[in-house]
Amino acid sequence: MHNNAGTIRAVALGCREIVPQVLIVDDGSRDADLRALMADTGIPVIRHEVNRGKGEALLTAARAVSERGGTTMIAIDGDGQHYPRDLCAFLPVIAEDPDAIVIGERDMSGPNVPGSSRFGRKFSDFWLRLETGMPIRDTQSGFRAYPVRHILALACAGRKYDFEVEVLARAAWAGLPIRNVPIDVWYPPAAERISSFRPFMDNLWLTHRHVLLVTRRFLPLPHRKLVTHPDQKKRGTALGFWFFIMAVRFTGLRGAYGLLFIVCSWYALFDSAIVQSALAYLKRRFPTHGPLRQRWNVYRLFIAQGRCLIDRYYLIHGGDQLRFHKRNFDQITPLLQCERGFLLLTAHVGNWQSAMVSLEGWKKTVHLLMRPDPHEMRTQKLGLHQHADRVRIINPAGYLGGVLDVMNALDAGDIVSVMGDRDYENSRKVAVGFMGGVAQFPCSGFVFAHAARRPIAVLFSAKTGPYDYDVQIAGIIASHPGETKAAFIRRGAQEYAALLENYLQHHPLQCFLFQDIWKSSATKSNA
Amino acid sequence: MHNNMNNTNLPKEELLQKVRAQLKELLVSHLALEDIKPEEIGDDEPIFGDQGLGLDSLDAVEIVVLLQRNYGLNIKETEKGTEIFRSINALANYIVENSPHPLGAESAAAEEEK
Repeated sequence: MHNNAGTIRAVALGCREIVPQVLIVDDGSRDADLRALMADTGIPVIRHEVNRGKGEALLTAARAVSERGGTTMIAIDGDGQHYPRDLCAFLPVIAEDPDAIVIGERDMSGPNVPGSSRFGRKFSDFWLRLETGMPIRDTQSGFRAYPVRHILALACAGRKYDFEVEVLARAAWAGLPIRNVPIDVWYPPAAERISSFRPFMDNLWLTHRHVLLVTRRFLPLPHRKLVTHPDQKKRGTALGFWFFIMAVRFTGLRGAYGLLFIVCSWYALFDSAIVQSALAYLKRRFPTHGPLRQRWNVYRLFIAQGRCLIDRYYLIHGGDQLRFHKRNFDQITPLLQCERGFLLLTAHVGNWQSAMVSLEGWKKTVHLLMRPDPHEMRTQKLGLHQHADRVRIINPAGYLGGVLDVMNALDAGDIVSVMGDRDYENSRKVAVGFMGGVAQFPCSGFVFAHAARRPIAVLFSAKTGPYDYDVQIAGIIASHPGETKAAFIRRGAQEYAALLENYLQHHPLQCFLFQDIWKSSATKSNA
Repeated sequence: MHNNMNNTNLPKEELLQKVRAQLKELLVSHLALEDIKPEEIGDDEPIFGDQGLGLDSLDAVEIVVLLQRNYGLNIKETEKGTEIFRSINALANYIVENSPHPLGAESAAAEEEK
């Protein structure tokens, strides 16, 4: 509350008729002493001595609620535009869905509603839709219920009005449900209106925040999930997909790359979680670099991945200007001519999608062990539009991790492509020496190969120029006759690690692992 | 494929019992389950997942290979797998109903030599 002394007492008392605990945050008001004003009511007032912005005020409230053992807080503006009686609409929704942010959706049909407010609301909803891919209604309404623990965990940067939109985008990314309840709103006649919202400066902040949020949305880095809902995971991909296609269509590849400079510098500077995940690799690859140079490496790594991602969309969109240079493919000629199938072991380096394009012309069906992305499947089948019937997806989240399908595919003489550097959280790992440390690599590829008695071809790709990719068969790994499974996993994984290390010597900034695979963890080992 | 009586000359119940016992031995030896004795495995215990034997999907790879090489069986449909891999009981039933040599490839070879 900022300079709302005239209305605050009535609002607070109205709230207390419905909910037992009411708290006022006075964000540096200069029009009255709120503590004195509320003294007789027993309603606590927390004061910011200087005005720090609405976002700060909400966080202060959240911390106070959390300290008092509360789990949910409902924020209501102090200027009297909200009716405390509408609290009743929130309570059943909170009880049903305690992880949700509940937004009071204002009925804007009443008198005195300025046209600018109607437009502002629509515009804000549009931005949020772009940022989250889901329709969120009335994203400018300040009358909201927040799950306190989650809000404090979201790490929002916005401290002013921009907090209110940022928190919604981050909540959606983190998997929190966002719900609406209908509320009434009171707009006083223009002459009586008191609002702390400064049209020019605050709109500038909002726009700045939206631009950052939109770019973060399209950065191919994972969001930390606070709540997971199986049905919610793929929300929003359609719009993101469309946005990227439009960007590439209007600006071309180089134009789309240009956008990355802003985004990547921002994240390399400020997003410590993502930077840490990149540093796990960079510190091993460049052990002599100091912190500043390392940050520069992080930035360049982000740029490289952004470009690969843009290329991927470009390919899916049917772009045909990328050139793929095949290296050492003669190594797999005998495997391709053989009736029996084999395994492709790849890694999160370069652009595996482009690697798959190089498989065009092979007479064998390729099964990718990966979580299916419905949009990619629907549109252009992973860029392999002419050979879409030759690519299948085996979902590792399916029954028994898809192993029945993997084994049947190998049996039928097909190719199965598996990630060798990291796969799924709970998969079995084997410890091997990698880049001067001990890293955990997944066992699955080696287990399949040993059981089915099929060789493994290690395939890496690397972006070598604006329109050029190298796709290389780095080596072939096969079990010796009589070699036990455990021995083959150890030897195979070690050979694979050596091939990957060698690749990274030549292409240091194409490693998009973004995970500390050297961190020893309590995963099941096969040793 | 209900001609297994010709291959083994055993009544069905007795055959099932033998298959179950053999399966448990094979699982323990193939999967190197060091802390489990074959006779400790319950007939109706779940094979995969958190309960029962607690095997994971990579162990399933071994069982698939076991079915192929020892019993000449290929499970082509994943959906059927959920039923077949439910327990030792379900697996033994499937083998007896479908395998040309339900006591395994070695025993089939031995029968032929007689």
